[in-house]
Amino acid sequence: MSLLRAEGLSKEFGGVRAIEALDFEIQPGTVFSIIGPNGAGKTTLLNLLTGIYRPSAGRMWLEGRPLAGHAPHLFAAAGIGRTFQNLQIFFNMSALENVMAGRHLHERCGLAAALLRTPRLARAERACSDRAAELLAFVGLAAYERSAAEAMPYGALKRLEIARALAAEPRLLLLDEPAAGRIEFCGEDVTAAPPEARVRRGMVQVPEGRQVFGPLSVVDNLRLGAYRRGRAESVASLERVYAMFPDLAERRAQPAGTLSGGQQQMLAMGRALMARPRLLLLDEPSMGLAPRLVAGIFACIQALRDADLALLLVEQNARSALAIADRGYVLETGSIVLAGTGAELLADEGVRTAYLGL
Amino acid sequence: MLERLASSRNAGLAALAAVVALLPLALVNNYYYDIAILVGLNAIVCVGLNLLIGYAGQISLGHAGFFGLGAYGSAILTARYGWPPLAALLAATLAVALLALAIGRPILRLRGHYLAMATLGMGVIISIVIATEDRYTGGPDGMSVPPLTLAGVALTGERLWYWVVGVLLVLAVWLARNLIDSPHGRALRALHGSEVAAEVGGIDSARHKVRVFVISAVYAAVAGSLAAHYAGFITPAKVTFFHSIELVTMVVFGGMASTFGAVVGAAVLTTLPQALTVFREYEMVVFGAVMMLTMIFMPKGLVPTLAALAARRGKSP
Repeated sequence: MSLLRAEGLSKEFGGVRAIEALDFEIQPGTVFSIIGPNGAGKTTLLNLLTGIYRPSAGRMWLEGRPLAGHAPHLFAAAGIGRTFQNLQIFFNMSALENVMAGRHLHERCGLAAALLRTPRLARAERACSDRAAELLAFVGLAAYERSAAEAMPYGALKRLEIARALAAEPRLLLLDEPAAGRIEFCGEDVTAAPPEARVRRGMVQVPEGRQVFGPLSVVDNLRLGAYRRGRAESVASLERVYAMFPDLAERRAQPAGTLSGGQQQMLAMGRALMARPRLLLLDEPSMGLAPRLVAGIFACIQALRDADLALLLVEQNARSALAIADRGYVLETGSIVLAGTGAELLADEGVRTAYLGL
Repeated sequence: MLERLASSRNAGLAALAAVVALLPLALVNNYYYDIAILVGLNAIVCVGLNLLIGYAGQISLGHAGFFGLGAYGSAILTARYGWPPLAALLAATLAVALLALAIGRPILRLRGHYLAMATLGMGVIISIVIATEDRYTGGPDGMSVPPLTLAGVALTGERLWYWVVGVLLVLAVWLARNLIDSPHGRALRALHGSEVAAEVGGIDSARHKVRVFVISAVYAAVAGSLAAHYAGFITPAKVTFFHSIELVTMVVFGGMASTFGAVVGAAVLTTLPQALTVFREYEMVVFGAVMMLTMIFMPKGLVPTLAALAARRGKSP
């Protein structure tokens, strides 16, 4: 017998069909994957399977018993556990308590016993805590046992959710994007790090449209780029930036707003370099510049690469960008549709017709 | 690790018991005893209210209503019908629990502002009924209440009452902390943290919310009943919306999700108006200001903020 069976499962939101007449069966002891782009209805399906949404039509059975019109906690009691795409952690508790709360279904405890804390309850609590600790160790979070959930990094919280779901000993575990949205920088999880923390670690962005501080002088713009650095270091960085962009050295006292577009782009890059990045993120550096200036900007990018800086370049000027790229990715409506070395992509038939106009 | 948790819990309780036991050394006359008793009664209400607000994350702006029903229930049953005080206390508390159960089921489906409005409405209705049913309650003039008798002995005098209230406060804190550290308490904190995650984890959030609402109402009713017997007289003033706000202020000021915070909040905000008698007419202004300043400068409340400070001190020598 199948573990879960769905027949004609549908969900409408005010006339919009999110899920339409799905039929499927999940066998015990198997992995059942659902893939699809954003908005395809993956999370809606999980919400139907956990009782958060009521289906507009269709029926579900878990081990032959119908599942319908129940509240989520009854779906859980029937043996369905899940994690969430957007973290739903109990941030007011420790990691261990999060997992202990996940064992709720397996704890038989009357209100009177809870209020009086009977020795039997104390023993059960110890067993529950031991089991939770085992599960934390199982997902590799033994070190976080006593940490407050709110102090844990994103990647650890994803695993904490899995441990919490496992604590209920479900027969069917639904994982909503368990690997979604994790950014690691130099081995550190920076997914939830605020912008200034990323800058401190060495990820610095040159924003689209330069965004220089117009009324401030060139040198003040550059100094602000080294806001997080010491004074001596800042002076050394300034010399390096002037060496790379002699135009800026000449105009150091001039208000940034009076510079030409090409000079402003150089200033924006110089300002980012002042923070001593390990990775420089460039957003449309050639936008709105004359071809001669574009060539100059790309020469600078190559020089920075040769000085061992990693650069992530986002560009509409596909030919120039791919010509200097070691690796390139073509993104269409949020998905990578093509990847390869710069030369490979330049030679690709699809890229040539769609982006190079050949 | 659980042993350590258990010992820290007992340490807090022992500290509270020690304060209750040693405080009489500082209480130089009956006036001070009187204030200490008021603190204890308010603290009992706040410990219960903190379970609802601080741990389960549900608001109530009507708990003075439950306090008042406990008080008037005891008063009416003893003064008008001649019930023994202890039986009246139990009957009034049971009635309040049933009422909270009946009201809690529909209104705890509401969230945020809507729940606040619904509980506020409940409190206002209770206070209007008490003020207008003067045949039973004496109306706005209030009514006198016979003293509490235990095993035929009448409890009178501040010193005796101090010990009764003190012991009950320690008991109330012990019960509340046991509840919090049990699967029930974890369920409450979980539905506060993420209701949807709590539910898919098998926690029946509606049931747990109603249950903690009833428990907090019982705390308020017992304190109300004791307050009526202690004072020997009761007026609708303690049943008003303003008293509900005072109680919430004590919980928030002391520290949400901190049982000892609720006790400290009740102690500070009960004694403060007595200490600043010059401000008496502006008591509500002081309360409002305290609430605002707490929200701005220590949104976690007094006790959790101090605990975090102490922990930071301990870490960096």
